[in-house]
Amino acid sequence: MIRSKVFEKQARELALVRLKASPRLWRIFQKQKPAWWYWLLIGIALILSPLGIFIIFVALPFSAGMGVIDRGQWQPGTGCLVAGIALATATGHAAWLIQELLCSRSLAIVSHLPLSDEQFLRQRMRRLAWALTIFSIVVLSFFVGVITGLGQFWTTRTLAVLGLAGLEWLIISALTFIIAAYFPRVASPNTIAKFAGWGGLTFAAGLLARNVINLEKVMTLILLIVPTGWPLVMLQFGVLNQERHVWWLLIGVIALIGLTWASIIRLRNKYSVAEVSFTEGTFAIAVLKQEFLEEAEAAEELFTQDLLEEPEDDDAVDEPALGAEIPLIRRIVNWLTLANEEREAAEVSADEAREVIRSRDFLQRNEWERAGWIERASNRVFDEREHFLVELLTGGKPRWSYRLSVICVQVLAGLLILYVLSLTFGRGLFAICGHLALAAITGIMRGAWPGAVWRNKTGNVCSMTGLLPVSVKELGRLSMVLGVARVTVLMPMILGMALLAIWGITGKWNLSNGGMYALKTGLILIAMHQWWPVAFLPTSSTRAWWHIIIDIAGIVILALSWLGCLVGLFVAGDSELWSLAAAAGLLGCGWILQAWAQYQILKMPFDFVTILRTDQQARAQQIQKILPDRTW
Amino acid sequence: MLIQTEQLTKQYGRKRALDEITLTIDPGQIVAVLGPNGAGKTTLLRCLSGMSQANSGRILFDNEVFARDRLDLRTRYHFVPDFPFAVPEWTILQHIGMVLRTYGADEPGIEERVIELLEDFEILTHIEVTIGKLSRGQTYKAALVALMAADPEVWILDEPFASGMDPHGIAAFRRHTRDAAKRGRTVLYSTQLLELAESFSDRVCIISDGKVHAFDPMSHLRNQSDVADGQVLEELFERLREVQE
Repeated sequence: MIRSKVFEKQARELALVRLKASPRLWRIFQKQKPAWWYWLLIGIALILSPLGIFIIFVALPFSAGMGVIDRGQWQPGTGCLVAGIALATATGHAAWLIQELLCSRSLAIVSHLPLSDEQFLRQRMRRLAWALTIFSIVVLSFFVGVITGLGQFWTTRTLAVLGLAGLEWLIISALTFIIAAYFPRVASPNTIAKFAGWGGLTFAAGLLARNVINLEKVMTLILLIVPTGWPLVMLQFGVLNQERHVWWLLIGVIALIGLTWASIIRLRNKYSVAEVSFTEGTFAIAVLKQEFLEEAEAAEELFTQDLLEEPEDDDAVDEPALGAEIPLIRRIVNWLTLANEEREAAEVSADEAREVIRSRDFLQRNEWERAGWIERASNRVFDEREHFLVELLTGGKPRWSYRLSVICVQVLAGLLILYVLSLTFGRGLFAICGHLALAAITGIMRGAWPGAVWRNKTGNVCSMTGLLPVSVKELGRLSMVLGVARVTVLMPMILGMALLAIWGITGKWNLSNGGMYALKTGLILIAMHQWWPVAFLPTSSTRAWWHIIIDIAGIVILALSWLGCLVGLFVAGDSELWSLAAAAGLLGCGWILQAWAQYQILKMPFDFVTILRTDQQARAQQIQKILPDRTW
Repeated sequence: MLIQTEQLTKQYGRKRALDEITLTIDPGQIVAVLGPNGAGKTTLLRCLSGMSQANSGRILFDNEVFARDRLDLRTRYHFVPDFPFAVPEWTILQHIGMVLRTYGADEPGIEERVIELLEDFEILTHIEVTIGKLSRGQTYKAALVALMAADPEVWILDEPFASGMDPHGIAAFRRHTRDAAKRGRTVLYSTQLLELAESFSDRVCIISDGKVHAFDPMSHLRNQSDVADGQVLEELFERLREVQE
């Protein structure tokens, strides 16, 4: 981070002294920093990892690499151990990166230096890359063992194994960034502890499985699911057994690299903590010039003298510092989405509350420009009112990009499992699963709209449109824009699934058929969006029986028409006219439903409040108790 | 804002909760809606807020016919039910922020008003607590702060004095409501507490069986009555019961 090691060390020590000087800041720091047992576990993991490798290489009758070659037999237990260590390396380093970026002495120091957030981030990422390389040596030594076992150097095989070693490093790095950017919660000390436990179990299982043939398939499956296991599978089946189909795993690697790129961009966009200033006024590093940084050692003495000056009044230091610190804590919480129940329930002091309110964070629109790529894309499509409505419905942050990345990982894992299963059950599985995945995307589109329906203490519910000046008509328009935007974003995935489904049936990659199929699916999804504004209206308890009968009859007719159009869309074949008619019918059904809801709201004695029955109320209250955890 | 209802009728099945109610409420008044249980007080407030739709009749705000899609009219009032609705996962501050943004009341400087209100209602230190974890009284206070910070022209409140708020909260409510009326805001609230309504309203609207039995300024009722202050409404209620029997 800082060019002079001596300077950095002194600055770190002084930052620590400053933190300790303020009980409040120290308390916050203590809360944020990992527990002592975290370091203990990391230490144990660091000792055990090389020890495990040592056992494999020396204590056992064959080395890990040699075993694979000499016996010509797949050793998934050993593979699992290597993959497990690689995964632990990735997770551990992701945790390190998160801690460094969000709550560390480095951050405390950097906040007082004329360094931009991006510079700090870049510095940390560079250091991370070095650390990863060093720690990956443990894993990479396995590949070296394999090369040694091959006996001949500079052959195609050797180069392939070297390439796979590089790939393993790449995957570890990719996972580190992906976890840090998209799953910061996973990279918590708590999870690391769990991973350490799992690592131990994997280690034990690996040793156990060496001679237990029944576990081999399970182990292979695990290696296929865990990305760090892919190079090992490719090594055994691709390089050694010459089975070509295993190279399909490279698609997964490419996807991971793509996600890594997105992760780095996400980190760069998200990481903005310029407000950090623990000891405003006295910790006066802000006067530093850029040139000073370049010649840090020369100016070291001057700088540290400034730092060593004691503040005249400690209390005076604490108070102004706090104001700058609260937005940071809030931003960390928002960014990490770590707001657990305990933190949520915690009361703040009056001064803190005033500072939070004066920061106007609660009145600010979501930073669409700095959010994930889907949000950034939506930013161009939505107008100001639509932005606000989405924020109102989602409670501030849509988190669409995050959800999509989760879905991508799920799809990837699903495809890998599918691949393994298809080896036994045949290609037809892809046809079934491709269709199922297309259907599942419908669920993905549903999203989370906590702000749509409001509740009260008795468990009664009321549509947000009944309480605030927001009309159902507006939501109808929004649903159309949102539907088109979401389908556009998801189109590559839809296209992939459509192609896969058709390949499963015909055994051929047919782009035109697959493309048409994907377009039709996209259209269905847009049409389905027209139904959701109506779903936000609770069933009123004040409508007469004949209203309900009309509702049911209308919905049955609409649903049948919708299904008819759906079938028509696919059986229309080459007839473009019929396809268009069916597509229009699908959209039309949604619009008719919206118009009906609008008519009821405006012209009929429709009440927004739904009074639940006692048993429903009890259930609703139960759900309310669970909800805060689930939504976070 | 001038509020008028014309022949407003609301039915729940065969029961008429509101029976052809016609009222005119001038701006800048505090109006207490009184009546026995099931008289139609809440229904009247819900219809005025658009939360319930009347079977017949109409509502006019500043001589313009109200409909639920008239967002321009809807931004001029806010309704706080007896059990306020909110998103349980949102914090108090998030809730207030969303309401302010919805009403376009997020102009610079509003934060000081929010602080003042939160201090007055003694929930300043709870701003980070999610609404689902609040007591009923605290939830009501949060809803009131949102309403008062947004400060629309009409405040509609259902049973504010039986909302679970502590005496300090009720005192703050009364103080801010009086100030609001002085600024020309119209405040409609329902209550069962006659003594309180007598001292804290410019006009009372007494409803029974969905019909309006009295809609008079308090001063007028006092002049007509020969009982001591604080018992005027009680006497009126007694007479009403006798007539109904």
